[in-house]
Formats: sequence, C-alpha cells, structure tokens
Amino acid sequence: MDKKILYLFKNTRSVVKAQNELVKNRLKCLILPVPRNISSECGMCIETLAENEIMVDKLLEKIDINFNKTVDY
Amino acid sequence: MNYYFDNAATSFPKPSQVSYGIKKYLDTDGAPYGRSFYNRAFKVSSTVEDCRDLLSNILNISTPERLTFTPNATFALNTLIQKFKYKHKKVLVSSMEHNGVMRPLQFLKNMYGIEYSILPSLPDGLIDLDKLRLNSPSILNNSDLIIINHMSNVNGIIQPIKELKQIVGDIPVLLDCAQSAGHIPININDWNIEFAAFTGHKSLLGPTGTGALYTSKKFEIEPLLYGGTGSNSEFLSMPNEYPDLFEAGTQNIAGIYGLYEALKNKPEPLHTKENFTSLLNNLENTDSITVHKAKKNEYQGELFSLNHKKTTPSNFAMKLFSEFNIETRVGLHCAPMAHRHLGTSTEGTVRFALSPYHSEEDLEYLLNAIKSCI
Repeated sequence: MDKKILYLFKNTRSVVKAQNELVKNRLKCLILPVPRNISSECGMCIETLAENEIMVDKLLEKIDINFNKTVDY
Repeated sequence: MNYYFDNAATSFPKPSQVSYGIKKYLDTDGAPYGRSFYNRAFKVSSTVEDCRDLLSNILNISTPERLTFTPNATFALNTLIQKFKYKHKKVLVSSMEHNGVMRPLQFLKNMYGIEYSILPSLPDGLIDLDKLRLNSPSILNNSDLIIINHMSNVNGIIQPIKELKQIVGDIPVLLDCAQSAGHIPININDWNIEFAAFTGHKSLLGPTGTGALYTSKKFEIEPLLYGGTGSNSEFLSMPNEYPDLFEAGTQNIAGIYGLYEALKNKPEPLHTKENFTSLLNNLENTDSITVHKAKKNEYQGELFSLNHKKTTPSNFAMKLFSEFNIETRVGLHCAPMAHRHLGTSTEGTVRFALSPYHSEEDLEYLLNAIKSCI
C-alpha cells in the first residue's frame, strides 16, 4: 500500500487554499476529518501520497500557508 | 421603467444570478462552512473563500483573510469602534457620519468618556483638507482613530481619502464604505487604510444580511462576538487566526452565495455619468427646490437629496409616489449629524439614489416627475 502523509492546518481558509493549490498542480489529495488521535486546530485536513511531500511543502510555502504534517495516524 | 430610487437604503433590482446563488445554496449545496470534511461541506467552504477573495480583489485588499464577513456594515463598524484600544480617548469624525458610527461613539462617550470631534468641513460636507493641513498639529494631536463616511448617504459627497490619509499619516482610519463599495473604486492598500466596513446589499448589489470588516495586520482587535468557529475547538479562547477570530457562529452562507454571484455579475450601468450630471444640473437650475449635492462634480456619487421650498419632504415624496410611482426615502436617513451640517435637520430631505439599472429614460422620467410636482 502506498505510504500517505497528512497535512494539518490552522483553519478552514488554509485547508481550502492548500487544496486549491494542490489540485492546480495536479497532485492527488483527499479532504479528511482530522483523526481523533491528532491534535489539530481544524476539523479538516489533507491526505496525499508521502512521495508528494517535498512538492506539497514547496507549494504551501509559496502561497504562505502554515501547516503541520504527520505520517503517524 | 425603473421607479426605484431608494438604492441607498438597499439596492433593487439585483443581478438575476443573486437569487440563483442563494437558491443553489439552499437547494443543492446546503452544507456548513468549515465544520465538516465531506464534499458538499468542502464545496461550501471553498465558495465562501472564493467570495472573500473576489471581494478583497475588488476592494484592493492584499490580505483577504483580514476581510471577515459580518451581517452588515453596522456590525463591522460596531466591532471596530467598540473594540479598538483608545489610548487618548479621542476620535475624529467627518461631518457626514451615519448613526452606524455615531451611536456606538455616543455609547463609548457615555460609558468611557471617549470624546469625538468633527473634522473641518466645507458647506457641502467635504472635508476641508486645506484647513486640516494648516492646523494639523492641533486638530490631530492625540487622536486615536479617524472615522470617515466615504460616500454620504444624504448628498452623495465622496471624501478624498487618499489625500486625507497623506495628511493624517499614521493615525488609523476607519472607512465606512456602506455607500461607496461597488459604486466607486476603492483601494484599501494604496490608500493605506487600516480599517474598513462594507455592506453587501447596497452598491455591491448582493442580498441583505451580508457585509464585511477589514482590519489591518498592524492592529490586534478583539472580536465583538465569541463562539464556535470550527477551529481551535479544544480551547475556550477564540483562535488568533483570521478570518476565524471575527466569524464566530454560522455565517449567512446563503447570503454569501448570493453576494458572490453579485460580485461576478456586476452589470454595466444603463446610464452614463453625463446623464446623471445633466439631471443634477437641470434640477439645480429649477426654481422652488434646493438640491443637496457636492459643490464639485468630481466629489459627487450618484445620490442626492432635495427640498421643496414650500412643501415638506414627506408631502413631496408622497406626491412623487402617488402620481409617478417614484420610490424615494424621506427624512434624516439615519444621519442626523450630516443633516445638521447641511442645515436640513428640521425636516430632513427627499433622497434619490441611482443604481446601474437606471437608464437615461428613467432619469428623464424622474426629472419630469420632479418638475411636475413643484
């Protein structure tokens, strides 16, 4: 099974902006409710393939979106 | 024929897409903003953020997250006026302020001794920049905040904000854009405006129950409302993130859908600036009435008031309505201070406010109707 990574954001606007950017750059991603075992400040998060991590980090930094990430969920 | 000249109270008609947007939300999309993850909820959240981005773009705001939705301009004004941190307890206002500003200021004066003074003004309500420039040290000294009605809802005067801001420098300005947003260009960034209040249902042509507050990054302002935001839920304090800080509780999502459609479908005016100027000039040269407007055309928005010299505003407006179907607003227009400045506070005026949906023929009809009622 492909390894996944979860991106966590401060608020809804950040999730929306992040998802838009990923889709715009043809990166497959999924909106998920934040898993219970993860402390987050928003009810939504973004899951993508771990192999996208470097690219996603760059894109989010480019649009000035703060995030946390985890592979442990 | 468009008989509706009460657009300064609320605009009518709206672009047809506005009701489509509201219906789309109520009948199809229908999910909450920022509370859930499923596709429909995410689509709603995306649409709300798209609306915020587009509105920011129209108002030239480079930090859209700092443009927070409110139910109306009054709520936005109250948030800022009530929660701003006054160091010297001194506020300056223009002579044309609406009660949306003056009533919260009066409340602060009564409760906390915060004083307000009126900026020097010309007879038509235009801020007297020359006098302000000459006396700026004494007028501006220890001022915490300057509040300006961008476009008067009584005589349509447009204040020279860019020039004013250059004079007042770092003293923060709260711009009340209730009448101006959607009607004239607004450039929050270039003008270096710190705070601004907007409504969606006037010249932006959106539905009632929509508005927005802009707050600059330079200031930390407490919210007026506390509650759920869908974020930071494990804490009892409000999140520090924007827009969440100012958007407690479920927003008027149906209204925001409608506003978004209004912003995307702004109509081209059916009349020209020259048509409006011609109407004003014609009325100004008509005996028996006094027209309340800007002295110089360059400061005139597309609304004005008038008084008949022998008939009360209410009788004049009633005659216009009963004989010509013309719909206007009579009285003080919730702006008694502006009327005091213009010398019309005893009876108020009859107000006429245009929209893009008025044609040259509509303006001719209005002119003839007014002349017939004299």
